[in-house]
Amino acid sequence: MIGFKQIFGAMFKEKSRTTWLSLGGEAVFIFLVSLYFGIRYGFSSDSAGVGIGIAAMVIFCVGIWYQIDVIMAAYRVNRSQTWRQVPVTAGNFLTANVLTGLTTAVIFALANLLIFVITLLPFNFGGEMRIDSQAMATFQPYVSSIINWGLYMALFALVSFAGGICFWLLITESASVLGDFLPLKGKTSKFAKAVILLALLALLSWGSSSILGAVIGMVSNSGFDFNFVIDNTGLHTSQTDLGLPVISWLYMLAEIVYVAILWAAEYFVFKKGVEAKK
Amino acid sequence: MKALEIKDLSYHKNSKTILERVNLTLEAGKIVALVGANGAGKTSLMRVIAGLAKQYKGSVEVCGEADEDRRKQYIAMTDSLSAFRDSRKIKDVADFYRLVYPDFDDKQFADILEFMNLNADERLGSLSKGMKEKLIIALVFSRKAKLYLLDEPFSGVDAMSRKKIIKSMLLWKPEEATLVISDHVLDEIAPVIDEVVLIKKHSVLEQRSAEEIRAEHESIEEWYEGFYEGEE
Repeated sequence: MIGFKQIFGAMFKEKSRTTWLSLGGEAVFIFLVSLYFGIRYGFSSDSAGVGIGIAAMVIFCVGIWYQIDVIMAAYRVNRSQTWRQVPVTAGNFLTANVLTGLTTAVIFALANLLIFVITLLPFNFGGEMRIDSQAMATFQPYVSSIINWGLYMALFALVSFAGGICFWLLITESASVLGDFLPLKGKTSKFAKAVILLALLALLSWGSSSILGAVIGMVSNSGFDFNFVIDNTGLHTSQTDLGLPVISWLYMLAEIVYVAILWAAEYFVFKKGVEAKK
Repeated sequence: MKALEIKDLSYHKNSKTILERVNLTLEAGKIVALVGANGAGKTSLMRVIAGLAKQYKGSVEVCGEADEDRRKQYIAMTDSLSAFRDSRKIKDVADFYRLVYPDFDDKQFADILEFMNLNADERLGSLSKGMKEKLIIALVFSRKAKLYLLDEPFSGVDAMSRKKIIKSMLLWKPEEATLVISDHVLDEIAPVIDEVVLIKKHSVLEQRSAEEIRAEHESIEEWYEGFYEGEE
């Protein structure tokens, strides 16, 4: 038997190939586009900014595609005979699958940030990037609060993304396993699986919004009238006496609990019913 | 010592019976031919043993281990390598095996690869069906497993290589390990097998020693064909 470290290492090695290949292709394309506009119009010209716009768009689209691919890759690993033959416990296998997806997604996001910053450098040196000192002065007292909020949101996004992988695995695999129990064949079986998939999607989406809704209901004074407000004096919440830190962490806790429930349900389905594809 | 013990195994999918009340015990160190017509349930039986197929009833023990996850450590089974893209090289696949199978033997792999005339730098996409089957056999026998499950391993391999591989399998397999080869063509593996298990009508119809069959019949093939006489 191998442990979590080994299975994580093997999965990361295989999955990160897609990460490096996608990043490589994306970086080459972005730099070529930026260079083209920079050289053609000059790096100090506003027109060269078209390159930045294209770079931002490419990063956005590739980022969305990559997140979908990470989730699909998790599904493919769960179904692959090659992977399923590996002598490892179902718990370690599933956790490694979710966490390697999450890790590669984080690497991808950070690398994209770096690519974008590098794309901006020539414009910075060309003197076209100006920082509005007056606006900066207005925000100065709230910078630390905004950074904290950014870190919190990044952490929240990580938990949500892990939940997204578990969510997708759970609904697709449950639909497949339930479909296998039905006395149906061929297209009828596929149709039944699609119906089950949609039903589970609706059910779990409702579950997800209900849990977060319950948290909102719990912390706010008037149910769904609760919201976060961000303005040039920082971040606030409305309709509550609890204060932002408490609410934020209650939100996070609710999300973690929901992801844990999804993982546990997926573990049960995976262990009991998910077969490797022939 | 028992390498495999299956009791009252039944496996159904979409209300279709695939295996029904299978009882089978294999002793360690044997070479066993698992035979039967197409769709008899040979592959499904191997998949259940390897923990790849679920939702079955009954018990399966490999080297005394019933837990699905834990029994995988004793099994080396042929795999279509579908997890690897065509652009991957043979050495990448070996790297993967080295990472996930503690019993993977590098030297053995290099030796078998050389025997098969395969180059570690070749890409999977450039391999013919037969060459890919050879690679799969090389990967399986590079592990020091207790139970080898070979599911129609020679389907794309040319006749000359097939004979060479069958003879060499005896050297590659650890002495105490059990080897199960599923095939519907018996003539080439017949000389090396110790036991024959015949799957028919979703269950084990016969389990006999090859020696007994050879003593009573002209050949194992003739004995096997006798079960299908009069059938289309």
